[in-house]
Parts: sequence; C-alpha cells; structure tokens
Amino acid sequence: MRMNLKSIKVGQKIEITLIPQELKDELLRLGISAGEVLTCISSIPGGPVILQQELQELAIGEAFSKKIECTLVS
Amino acid sequence: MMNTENLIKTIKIALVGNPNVGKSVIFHYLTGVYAEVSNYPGTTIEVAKALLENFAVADKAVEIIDTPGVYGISSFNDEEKATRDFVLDADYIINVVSATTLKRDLFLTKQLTELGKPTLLVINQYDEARLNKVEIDLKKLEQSLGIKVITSIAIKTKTLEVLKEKILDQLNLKENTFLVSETNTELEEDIKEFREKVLSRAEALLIAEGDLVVAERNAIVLDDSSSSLREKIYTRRRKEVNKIYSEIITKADFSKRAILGRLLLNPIIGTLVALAVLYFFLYQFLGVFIAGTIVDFLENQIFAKYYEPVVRMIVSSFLTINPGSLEPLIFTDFKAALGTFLAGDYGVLTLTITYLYGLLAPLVFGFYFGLAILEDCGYLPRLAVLTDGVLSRLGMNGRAIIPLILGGGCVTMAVVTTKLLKTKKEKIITMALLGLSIPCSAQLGVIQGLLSNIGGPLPWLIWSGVLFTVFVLAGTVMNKLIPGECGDFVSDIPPMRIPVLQNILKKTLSRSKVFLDEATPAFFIAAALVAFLQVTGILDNVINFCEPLMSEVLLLPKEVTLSFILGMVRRDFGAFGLMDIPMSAGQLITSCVVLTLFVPCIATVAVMIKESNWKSALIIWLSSWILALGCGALLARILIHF
Repeated sequence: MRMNLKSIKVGQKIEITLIPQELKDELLRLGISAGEVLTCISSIPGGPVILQQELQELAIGEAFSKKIECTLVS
Repeated sequence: MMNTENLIKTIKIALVGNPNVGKSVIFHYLTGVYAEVSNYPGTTIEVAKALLENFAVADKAVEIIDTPGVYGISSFNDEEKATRDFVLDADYIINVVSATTLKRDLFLTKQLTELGKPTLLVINQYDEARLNKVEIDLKKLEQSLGIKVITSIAIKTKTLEVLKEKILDQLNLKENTFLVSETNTELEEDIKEFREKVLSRAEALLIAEGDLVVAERNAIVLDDSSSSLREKIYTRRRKEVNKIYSEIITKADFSKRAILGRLLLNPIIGTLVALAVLYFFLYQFLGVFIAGTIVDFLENQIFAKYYEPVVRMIVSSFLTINPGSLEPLIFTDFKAALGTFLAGDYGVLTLTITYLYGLLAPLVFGFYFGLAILEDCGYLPRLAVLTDGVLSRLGMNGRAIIPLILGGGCVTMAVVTTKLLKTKKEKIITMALLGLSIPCSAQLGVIQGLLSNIGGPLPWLIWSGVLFTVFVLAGTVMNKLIPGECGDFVSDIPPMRIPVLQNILKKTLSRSKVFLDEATPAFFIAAALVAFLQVTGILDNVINFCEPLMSEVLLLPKEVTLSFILGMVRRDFGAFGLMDIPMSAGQLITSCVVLTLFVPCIATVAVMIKESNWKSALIIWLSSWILALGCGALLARILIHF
C-alpha cells in the first residue's frame, strides 16, 4: 500500500519508495534514498516525523514528509 | 630581494567531517587552541585555524584548520562553501567520521577521496560503537577506500597519540600515511569533460557535481544537464558507500537504544521537559539565582559598598559631585559638571563599571553557561524538532529556535546567526521577532528582578503572557503578509551525550569574553552620552518633553523616559534605573512590557541592515515603536483596575 511518510505511526517500519527531486541530493548525503528501510520513532502532531536507521536518527518536517512516499514493511 | 632561505612553507591540513563527530576536540588536541564544540548541526560557522603544537622543523609551519561540519561538499549552504574552499586549498585532509553513523559519514569520505587529495580517515567515537557491539573491519575499509584508517575516542586524548604520530610520519617523510586513492573509470568518464578545461582534478569533480561557484571561477557555464550529472554521481557514490558499509560491519546489535534521547522526542513528554527547562533555566537559574542572588550581592555588597564610594572619594577630592542633579551644571559650575560626569548617578566611572561587571557580566556568563550545557548534551536539535510544527505556522521552521534562544543572551548576536536559516522569509520573520519580543539576558535579568520585587509568579506570568501573545500574533501576521516559502526542515539528530565540564566552561568563557569585549566600549559611550546630557540639562528637557507620552498614554512616571532612551542605545542598558523609580505594581509590569517590546538597540539594527537590508530594518524598528506603545497603553489601562 502506498502512503506518505507523515501518515505512518510510531513503531512502524517502512520502505522509502519515492523522494521528490528537490530533496533527493540532500537525503542521499544523509544516507536516505529509495529502497532504504527505516523505523518511525516519533511523530509530532503538526510537526516532523522522526525516523531511525541503526544508530542514526533523522527528523523530516511535515511539509516534506507528506511528499515522500513509502510502503509498510511491518 | 627575497631571501629564499628564510621562507617558511606553511603546510595546510584540513579537518573535515560531518557535524558532531568530534573534529573540534581533535583540533584542540593537535593545536592546544580551543575551538567551540557544539552539538547543534551548524553552530560553528566560524573556522578555527592554528599551528600544529610542538612541531619544530626549521623551514616548515603546519597549520590545522577546523572546518564547519558538513554532510558533503558543494555550494548548498555557507558552511559547505567555507569547507569546500579550505579543502581545495589544503595539502592534506584528515577526515573525521563517527563510528556510530558510518553509513552517513562515509558519503563525505568517498567524496573526499574522489577529489584526489591525500587523506587520512579517523574513525572517532569508537567507544560509542563498541557499546552497541558494532564491529568494524578496518582492513577491509582501508582496502575499499584506498586510504589509511585509524580509530580514536577523542575525549580520551591518549587515543589521539596515534593520529599525531601519523601526521608526523607524513610530514617527516618517514611514511606516507595520507594517501590518494585510486579512482574508478566510470567517475573519470563523468568528469572527463571538465578535466580538460580545469587544472585541478578536485575542481573538475565539484563542477561535474554542479557546484556553480567553482564553475564560475573557472569560467564554465553549466547547463540544465548538470543537475542530472550530479544525481548520477551522487547515486553511484551512495551505492558504493552502502556496499562498503555492508561489507565492513561484521557484527552489530542496535537493540540498545538511548532512552532519554527518545523520550525527549515524544510530543507530550518532550513538551513538558521543554517547559521545565524553560522554567528552570530562564526563571530559577537566570532570574532568581543569577539576577537575584548573585547580581544583588555584587551590585549592592561589592560595588555599592566598596567600589563606588572609593571612586567618589577620589573624584571628590579635586572635583565636586552632584549625584542626582538634572541642572545644566556645565554652564554654572564646571567642576561639579565634570565630577558628576565622572562619578554621578550615571557617571562614566561609577555606573558603567558597576553595571558592566556587577550586572551584565554575571548574567551573560550565566546565560552562556546554561546554553552551553543544553548545546553540548544534544538537547537543542530535539527542541528544534519539537518546535518545528509551531514555528512553521509562524513562517519559520525548527532551525529558527537557535537564534530565538540565543536572543535571550544577546539579540545582536542572535541576528548574526540567522545566517543559518535558508530562505529569506524565515530570516526576516526570525529577525523581526527577535527585535520585537525577545529580551536579551541583561534586560531579562533586571526585569526578573523588578517583577520579583512585586512578589509571586503573577507579574511574571502577565509579562511573559503578553510577550508570547505578541510573538505568536506578529509571527502569524508576517507569515500571511510576507511572500515566499519558509523552507524545509531536515535535521539529523545527534545522540544525547554527557557534557564535559571543561568544554562547557571554555565555551562559556570565550563567548562571554566576545560579548563583553564588544559591549564595554559601547557602554562607555552610552554612559558618557547620558552623563553629558545630564550635566548640560538636555536630559531634563527630554524627560519633560516626553512627560505627556508617559503619563497620558502609558500612565507611567516621567522618569521612565530615561530607560527608554537608553534602551534605544543599548537594549540591556535601558532596564537599569527602573529599579529606583517609585511605581505601583501595575506600572512596573507595564514598563517592563514596554521596555521589552521597545526598539532593538543600535547594534542590533546595524546587524539587521547587514543581514537583510535597511528597509526591513526600518520597518522592524518603526513597528516596535507602535507595538510597544500600543501594548503598553492597553496593558496600563487593564492593570489600573487591579
């Protein structure tokens, strides 16, 4: 099922499927690209989504998290 | 004629790495000079340079450069541009990475090796990786990258001795420890076009990656295909890094999670903690402890009892002093005028020194001490995440929390850090809100003192309530009125760490020193100006002239005028003097609110003009007049009923 990053819930594991062009380079550097699997560790209502991969934690603001598509892994 | 024998060659070594990997600690170890260590991505914009310590070879000097933390090198932001130029200029590169975030950090490493500069890789924070049972195959990593790799735990300086040995081996030509890695043919193919046009290989790669600044320097015009070439190179690099990463991590257990760091990102717990931090830091620590206990002791016990009487005694032995006089003494009694100028109520020698060292210094020190703790433990990025949602509705985003908090120390310095913000809209709004509604530490201290004289938390609540309302309303209005975007928020969140006291103190001292160095001359000038206005009688005229405004509009005694005039010169200067004017509780609260909302000081306005333009600065300045007087008039009329 396709969804955007903002709609995932804490504890869910997702796979990134699509990153909009304007964010691609910045996220590539941080280690995030399509195909990566991440876990949602927090989501601030009206604010950023916080994702974790191994020991790295990353917050993505609301507006952009709505533009990033993903699928649920578990 | 130049004497070639005496020419000293400076060898440049750049320390390069992602934010928060421990570059500054390593820099400190190598040079013996302290550089600011911060836990917020992007706090160190200024670049520290120093000579390698204890390195004595007759014809060589070795310069170490601590570059701003970046995730890659290009022209994405100011830090990157700075780092890029230092990398291009350097003879050797020490790339520092964190063992805990290798997958992220190796992207920059790979880019650096592809630039073709002799590089040494230092895997720092090795102990933190050990804690998570991460095991790294270092031999394999050396093979894959084609450069040498060493490990360190920077806060334990013993582990850095290896690094120093490696540097010395290279410099003394004993062994090549900084290697240039072999590049792959696909990459060579991609940058071939530019290699023919540009002398340096490093620059050719940066141009191929679409770095417009470097392209322009080499008179190369990039077309639309440049961004797709960058994406191609970036994507390949990321794939290669991911492959290397999967091969070198032999064992890892990521089940151990930093519980505290997580809890602070929880919306409810995080908000409660943020409020508690605000309460303890601003109210209990700065307001009650520093502004109350410490300043009270210094001002009333030390300076008022020992310093000022001595100065007055000396001055009055050959001049006369008329402390509180507003008469135009200069025309009647020159001796008294000069004496009052030097040691009267607003005397250059009395008030300025007492104010600078009895009041301002402890407050500024206290503020930066608290801020340094919050910074070094990694709390600020979490606060940025928590506040991003709210701030984005006011036309800013989470990043703006840093200048907004810094404003509580010195609004002028905070305006300088609006550089960190990406879009023009965020910048202007943050600047305006700083100028309008954020009190700086000295002002905060005096206001806390005044409000606590009334007693109870209610005055404090009214004062902060009004400021908060103004902050939210002004932000909302500007968000609607100012066109443009407020920028994306993507932030790496570093782990929480226990701050090292030594670093906290060093940082606090160096920042306080910068502040006081800048503030001291400004204070003397302001004090001299006021003392001059006093002895010439002009002050008396101005106070009388403003009386209707004070008594009719704000329902305040006319003497408050002086505070407002001083506030224009230096914001923190304005709050003094209010203490001695007899006022009712309502009047005190009103004057505190008006003073906080009133115009930003001259230095702040100057920086605003520099960071944006004179038009925006003027609008901010004028609207703070209207807001301050409007809110004050309204509040005075409400409070008069209680």
